[in-house]
Amino acid sequence: MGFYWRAIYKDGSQLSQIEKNEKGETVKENLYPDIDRSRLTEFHLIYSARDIPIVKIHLRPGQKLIARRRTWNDWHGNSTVVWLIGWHQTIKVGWWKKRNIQMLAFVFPDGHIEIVDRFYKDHPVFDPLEKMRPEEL
Amino acid sequence: MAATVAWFFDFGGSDGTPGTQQDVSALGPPRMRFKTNDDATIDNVDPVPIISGQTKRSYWKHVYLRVTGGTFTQIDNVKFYTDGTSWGTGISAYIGDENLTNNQGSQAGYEVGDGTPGDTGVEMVTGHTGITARTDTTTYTSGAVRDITISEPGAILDASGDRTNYVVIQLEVLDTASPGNLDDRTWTFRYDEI
Repeated sequence: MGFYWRAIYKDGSQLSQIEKNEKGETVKENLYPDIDRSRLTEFHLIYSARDIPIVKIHLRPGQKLIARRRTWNDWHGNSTVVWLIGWHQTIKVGWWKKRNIQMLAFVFPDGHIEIVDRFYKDHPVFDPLEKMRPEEL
Repeated sequence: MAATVAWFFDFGGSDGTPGTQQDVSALGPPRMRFKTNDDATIDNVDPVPIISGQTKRSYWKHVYLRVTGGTFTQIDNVKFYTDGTSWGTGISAYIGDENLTNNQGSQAGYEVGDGTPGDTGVEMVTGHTGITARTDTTTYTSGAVRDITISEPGAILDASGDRTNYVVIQLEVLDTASPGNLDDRTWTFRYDEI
């Protein structure tokens, strides 16, 4: 299964990774940094073959979007892609203490989804990523 | 819609200037052969011999991941690992512990494979100035990966031609090994892209 992302803004407008014409042909590709995070309210992962969302992330104030295509590429030429989409946030847990919380959805090639509450170091799939600057809290 | 990447290894030329940057997807299968010579030919020439009382080695290979095209923002968080399966008694593939400089501007980490064709390659810790120690490749599995560094600007791959730093890999054969072509193993690069 192939996927692409779509960002939904507060005013209902959207930015899609893949923009298509009436014939379904790709006419433009947008990049992840093109997303205006100041207006972002939802982030969808779209099943390419049918152009339907299979995962929707609803973002509340303070929650920062994280998204990646995690790819396994072996020397035989086989490639496997798992999409990671989710958010992380810093919350207050006491008068002066803060804690980072996360919600991460991993979307596998067969379409099944696994949701975890944090990255797990040295896990074959849920290993931490390196955050990009717009993703930093 | 996404980056296209491929496994490469360099050979020939001179230190710091490889003669050939070989895309393994253009070879085989199999796509890489460790032999007692410095080339990319997939054949039965220059095998690593089994000699009583001696240790023989393949010529080392400088392996890396390289972007060959596509539309994407960046690739980072690159890891390497194997299927964890050895080739049996007396046969080991070793990976140098260092990641060596390899980027679009410099291949300073590259040193030409050396040895005696048909006999043995020079041992990598002894002969490669960039390698101070080595590890059996089977140590690295999906749950215990090897970090692969990037020396392109920003420590990311964000353009066609960008590549990771080298890892150096060499096959070693003791006199307890059995002869014959070895079964294919699965080695993997894992990376994050957006």
